[in-house]
Amino acid sequence: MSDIVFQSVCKIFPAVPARKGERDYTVLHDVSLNIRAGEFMCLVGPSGCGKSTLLDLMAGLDFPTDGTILIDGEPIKGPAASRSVVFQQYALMPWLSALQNVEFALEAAGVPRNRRRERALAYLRLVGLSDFAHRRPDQLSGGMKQRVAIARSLSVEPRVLLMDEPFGALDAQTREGLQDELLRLWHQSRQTIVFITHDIDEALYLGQRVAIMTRNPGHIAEIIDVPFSARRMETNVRRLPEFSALRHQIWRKLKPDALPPGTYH
Amino acid sequence: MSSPAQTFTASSRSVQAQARDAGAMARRSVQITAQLLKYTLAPALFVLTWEMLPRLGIVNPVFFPPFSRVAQAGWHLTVTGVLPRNACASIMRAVTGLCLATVIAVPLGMLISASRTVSDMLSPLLEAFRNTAPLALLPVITLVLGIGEVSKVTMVVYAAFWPILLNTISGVRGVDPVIIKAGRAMGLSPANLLLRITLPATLPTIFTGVRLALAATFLVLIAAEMVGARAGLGYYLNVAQANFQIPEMYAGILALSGLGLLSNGLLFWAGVRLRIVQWRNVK
Repeated sequence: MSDIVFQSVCKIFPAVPARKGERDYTVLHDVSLNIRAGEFMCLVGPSGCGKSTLLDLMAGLDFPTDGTILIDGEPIKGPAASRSVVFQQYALMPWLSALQNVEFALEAAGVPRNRRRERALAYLRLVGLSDFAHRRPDQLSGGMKQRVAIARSLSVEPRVLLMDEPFGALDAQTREGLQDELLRLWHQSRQTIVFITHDIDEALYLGQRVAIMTRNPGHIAEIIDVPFSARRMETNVRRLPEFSALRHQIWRKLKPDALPPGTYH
Repeated sequence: MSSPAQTFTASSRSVQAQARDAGAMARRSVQITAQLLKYTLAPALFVLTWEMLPRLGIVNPVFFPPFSRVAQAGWHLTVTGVLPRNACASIMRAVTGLCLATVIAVPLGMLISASRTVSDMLSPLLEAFRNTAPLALLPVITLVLGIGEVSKVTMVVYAAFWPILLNTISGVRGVDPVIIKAGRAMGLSPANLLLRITLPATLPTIFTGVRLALAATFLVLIAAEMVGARAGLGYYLNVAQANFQIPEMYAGILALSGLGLLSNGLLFWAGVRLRIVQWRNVK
């Protein structure tokens, strides 16, 4: 269990000197955010609002220009097995089978050889892919590939799971199935999950809290507590009136951003 | 308990099934024959034309002996060990050269493409070298290294080096950035990223480079052997021509194309067995 604290984080990508007239680009401006240990936090925002950059910073793949990010009180020094990333494009090694892909992550995390096979199989079972362990990614559907990627991320038993629009490339039915599965897995493990999406419904359906990001520059506009998150397992919360009310509230917050400047609204 | 009617239907069904099986088998053998025909028809026609044109006097049989004469000469050369000895000499040079080129070009290509600046700086030079026909260097290499084994293997290394190097570089550039990112997120060191992700992801492209290099290898090797050698298929072709052993010369050419086909096939087979080719093709 880990809590993640952003203290006025800024991220500026410097202008390329060769391109005249280009100015430094501020992706994130003064982001302060407190993600609690064991929480399911969704970040929702339009493309270009810096949400993927925010995730890169948490993963240790990039560093803030200004401000600090603390995990359990310690600043992030780089990638670590305690923080695992799931990418939208699955990011599986195409030459390895599903099983080998999971074992690869276990090896990278320093799990001894004799324990890898068993653990990889256990996590593939967890995502319902026992029968497909020996298939390579090109022999799996998009939904199955993302399950392998999730199994791979979970197998290293991270304290924080970082998910960058993981279901963005999937069809609606597969997406809903995987959303339920993810909730089930989270209820078992209670890891900290930071889930990035541009889909308001998805954010409301999954998150305990939803952070709304807007762009130019990217910052957190509002954080919403999702009141019905605890009832999710027994009721179809998508049908609740509160759900539509919240969806509308977020939509209004994002609306000026989603439309090109100057559009009447 | 089964009534006669049921037995009847059951047995008639099995008869039907047998008939279906027999039909399927017949169709299958027709399919196989058709496939065989499809792939042997053109070569068969070629050989037939080769045989007939000199025999009918349409082409001069002195310069173009019929296929049967060439086959006879080839058989004789094989039995007496002339062809195997020369082929062996060529194969040794080709294999040595190709292996050396791969061992040098792959790590160098990985190193060059590790830095965008370095590869950009080297690219004009690489383009110039790549577009210089390797044979243009034959006089230089002969001048410096003489006509021994070293000069021939050097020629092969040079010719095979470029396709492998350039394919390695473009292969590394083509690696899906997201799997590199995934590797970084797993905490892999730069060396491990290169060896465990970039290299395996680049293997299919490198493999294509080696196959291109194989073609270049034979081209250059035969030319080098024609310039000065005491053995090798290129040397033999020249000798046969000089001695007016025309059917023998053609037999040497046939041996060469056979060698090319065989080595390319072997390489492809190895690629499939090592699963280098497959996942790329399915994609």
